Amino acid sequence: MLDALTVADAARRVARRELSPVELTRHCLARIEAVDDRLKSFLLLRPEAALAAAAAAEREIMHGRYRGPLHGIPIAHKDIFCTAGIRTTAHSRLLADFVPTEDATVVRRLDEAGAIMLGKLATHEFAIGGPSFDLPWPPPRNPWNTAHFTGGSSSGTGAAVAAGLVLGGSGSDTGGSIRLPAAYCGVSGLKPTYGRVSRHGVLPLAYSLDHAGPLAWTVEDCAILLQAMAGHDPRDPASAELPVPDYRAGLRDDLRGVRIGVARQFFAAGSHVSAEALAAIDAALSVMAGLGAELRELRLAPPEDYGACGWIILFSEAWSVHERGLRARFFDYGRIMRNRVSLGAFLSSADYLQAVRLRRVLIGEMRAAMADVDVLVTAVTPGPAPALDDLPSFASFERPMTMPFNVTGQPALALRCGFSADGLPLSFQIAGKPFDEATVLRVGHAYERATEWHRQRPKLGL
Amino acid sequence: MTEGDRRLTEFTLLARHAGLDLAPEAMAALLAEIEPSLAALLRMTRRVRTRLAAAGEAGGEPAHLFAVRAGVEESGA
Repeated sequence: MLDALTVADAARRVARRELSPVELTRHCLARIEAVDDRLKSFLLLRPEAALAAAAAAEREIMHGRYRGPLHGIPIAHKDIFCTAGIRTTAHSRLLADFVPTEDATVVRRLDEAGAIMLGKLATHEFAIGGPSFDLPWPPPRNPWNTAHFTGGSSSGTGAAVAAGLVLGGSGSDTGGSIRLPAAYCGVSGLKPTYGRVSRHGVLPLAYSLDHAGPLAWTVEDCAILLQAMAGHDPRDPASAELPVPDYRAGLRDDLRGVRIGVARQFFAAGSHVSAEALAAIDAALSVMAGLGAELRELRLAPPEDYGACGWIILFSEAWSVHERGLRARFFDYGRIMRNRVSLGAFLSSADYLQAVRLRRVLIGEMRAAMADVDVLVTAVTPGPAPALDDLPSFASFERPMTMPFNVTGQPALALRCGFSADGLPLSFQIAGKPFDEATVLRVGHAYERATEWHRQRPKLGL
Repeated sequence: MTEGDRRLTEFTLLARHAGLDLAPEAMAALLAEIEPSLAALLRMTRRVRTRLAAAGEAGGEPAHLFAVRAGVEESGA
């Protein structure tokens, strides 16, 4: 039974030579063939190359050259990660024929770890313009209910992982773009600390807020993927020169000695967070307390302060990335993309610099607030994935729950904690101290192991 | 000149200053679509300044501290 395999499960079987990477790759390709016509998660599929890579991995493993837990594991990349010799579109008409000559560092590192890249996954246009229906490719659909939004912008990765088309994949997160699709699609998604994972070769949205990281079915799988992705890269000027711990070795089934700060004002009753999401987060906190964690209420600045700071920086930097393209080819961009990024044209240099100054204040306040806790827990979305037909033209960007951790650069993980009455995933968020992904993963993993939510998969009629 | 005409003229000037030189109909359509977001963004710029002012010297660079003490910087209101 290969349908519900995690990276960790598959790796154990591949390492014991009980599961062939070719068999596993064929299985994923068959699932893609069967369901992706409905989900639209892939923009480009490379079955022959993937099978050849899987066969090569199998030969290496049979000759005793096992590289580790990603060897022979099918994955895919968000289509803003450059892939040498393979079209990289950013889901945009502007790059419809762009073929990079070099891999992004994340792509290269996962390739060196032995992962099998099946193809390129849908995104919001340039990681901000979506979900859009006026682009060369449609937006992906949520595997739990195809009438619903996947979240974005790592929308294809969220959908493909949830549907079991790949066992893991890459995403990027500038204001929530790993955690939102992870939450809406019911998978695990980690935005690492700013500087932990190289953005070299990742098409930029906002230089000082962009992060790259993994999405996978479980927290343990995110740990495995992060292990391969992380580490200093001199070709990303923001890359931190720090050692990378063994993330998987730090995973435990209990939370004894862990202090969890509860950022309740981000999701308290009376906020825009739905009652069922609120109840699911409270239940998750009870589970974590039962595992030995100590819960403490935290007072933070209002989320709107982080939102104002983050969105001004994001739109200013995104305009600087795209101003030449928008001036020259305005109508070649999709409507949502051009309308959102154009906002940056109306911000002043003083607006930007005041936001950058406020970022430093907010980082200091967050550091002080978290001085006596190891992680904080808060909401990640107001509720389950909305229907695609109900989405406003613009994100409700004055009520952000993911942006605070892009502003501060802290690691933040989204993972499921229940289901709505109509069967859509509910999720919450665990944020840690800078470069302490290990504790975030430990808390998420212990919670996941103590609950059953990750055992439910979307019914795809297969 | 109506209030709407005045807003469109101002918007067009700002857009052209930023290098977005669209046809008049396209400019009017863009304004119609992004005006609520521009209003939200304006609220955010005010919020940032208010919040910075409330943070006082904690967020200041040395030159900024000098400006605050000398009464040069705006109040942030």
